[in-house]
Amino acid sequence: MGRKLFYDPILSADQSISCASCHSPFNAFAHTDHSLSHGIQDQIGQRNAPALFNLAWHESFMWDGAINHLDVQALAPISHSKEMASSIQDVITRLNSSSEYRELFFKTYHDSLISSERILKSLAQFQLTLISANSRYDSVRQGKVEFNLQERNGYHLFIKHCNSCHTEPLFTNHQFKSNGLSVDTTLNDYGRWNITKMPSDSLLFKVPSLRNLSYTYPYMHDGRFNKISQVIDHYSNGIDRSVNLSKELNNPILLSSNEKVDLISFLLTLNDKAFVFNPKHQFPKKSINFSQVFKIKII
Amino acid sequence: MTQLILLDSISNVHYNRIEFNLGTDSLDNVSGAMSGDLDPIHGMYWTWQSGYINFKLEGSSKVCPSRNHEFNFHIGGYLYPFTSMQRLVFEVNQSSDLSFNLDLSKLISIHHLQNEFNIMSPSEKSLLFLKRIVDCINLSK
Ligand code: HEC
Ligand code: HEC
Repeated sequence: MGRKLFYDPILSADQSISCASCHSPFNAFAHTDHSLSHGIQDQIGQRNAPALFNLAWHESFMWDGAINHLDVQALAPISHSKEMASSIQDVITRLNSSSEYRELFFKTYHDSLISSERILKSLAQFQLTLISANSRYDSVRQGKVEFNLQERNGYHLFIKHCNSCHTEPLFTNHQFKSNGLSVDTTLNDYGRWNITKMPSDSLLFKVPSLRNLSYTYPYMHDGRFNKISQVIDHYSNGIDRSVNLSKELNNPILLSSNEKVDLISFLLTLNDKAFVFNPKHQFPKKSINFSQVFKIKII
Repeated sequence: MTQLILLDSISNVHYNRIEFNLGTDSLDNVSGAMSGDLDPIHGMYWTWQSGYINFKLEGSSKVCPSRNHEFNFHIGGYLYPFTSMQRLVFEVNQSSDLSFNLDLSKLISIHHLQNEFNIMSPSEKSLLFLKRIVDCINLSK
């Protein structure tokens, strides 16, 4: 039921936007091509929609950690005037007027009460099944295959320069850090500071996972980079040291052009095709009604 | 307007202290989707940022220099340093019923509404407002 809700625009005020409008399964549940997310009536939001996977390990949600539990996360897009522009009360009313949903709630919870708690928990349960652990990197870790020379060089560079924040095997330490992006003055987004109002949290954002990068462009909280190579150039010579830079990046990262290629070839081993194309996570096809199938009598 | 919340009356008991929490504790604030009084459909939960609104007062007054003269006070937050749950302790000496009153006219005086009409997230301002709420609670026999 969580999957059905995730793909159903019934959650939005004019029934035009579903969660999958911004979190597409073929982009590891990110929003490709849009630097800032697009919501109801094409309104543009403040941030880039992050990929959704391995959420069970997250300690907080959103780029600034505004949300503390996956259950309550969905309240944010449902209520946001530029996203789904609805409210949980209205969602309950709309679901209640659908006999299909009343039946589905009955099947799931053994009574047909449609409550906010059940809607939110179903959405969260579906999202918890989105686990990415089948990349080439994972096969190497399991001893099934080996890195080629380029990937191995890239792996060593990664451990040296990136692993302190993008810690393997999830490729994030789930902390709030600044990687030296200069402030976009059209957005003035100060990240974690929005929540804690502490100066030391200014411009810190949640470290994103680096799994599935080929599917999740553009990159960063405001989607400012379209290509992985631009991200590598940022770390090697684009870091803004005037901002609240995290100490892990105090030492400049010097990379030759060969090393940049090696590092990228390692990052590409984190793509998880089996996850991105897993039919279990995709739009629910009408399920076969078995009671009808078995009605055929064999004489 | 008066809103009365009655608790069961206790008879034949002598008591010398009443303690209770004003607001939801931090555990309730980090436990995900809940039902009953803590159901977010009651409008006492922030949607863009996790946490319960412990006190909500909305209205309009001619003295407010805001759009449509509206005022909105949403007071809550569970994260340090803007923790809003208050433990209230009253030393009493009592064997009959007591009532607690929140004096709204004292809380939103004209003087305050001219300067303060919009608090919608946990902040320094919401902590100051909370302190005033506590000051406006009194006991009567
Ligand atoms: C209009 C586009 C849009 C829609 C619709 C949308 N989201 Fe999002 N989602 C975003 C953006 C943008 C963010 C990042 C927000 C932020 O950091 O403030 C996000 C963040 C998230 C996160 C946090 C991920 C993390 O790594 O912290 C989850 C989980 C999520 N969305 C699930 C959902 C669900 C479930 C729905 C449907 C109920 C939904 N989203 C609908 C754009 C959208
Ligand atoms: C100080 C901790 C830190 C270190 C070290 C670090 N990063 Fe990051 N990285 C971050 C943060 C924080 C973000 C998100 C920044 C934002 O959006 O404002 C990020 C974002 C990224 C992104 C964008 C991912 C996405 O989905 O948007 C990529 C790719 C990336 N880093 C690669 C690297 C590589 C490669 C290295 C090593 C050369 C590295 N990072 C080192 C903290 C770090």
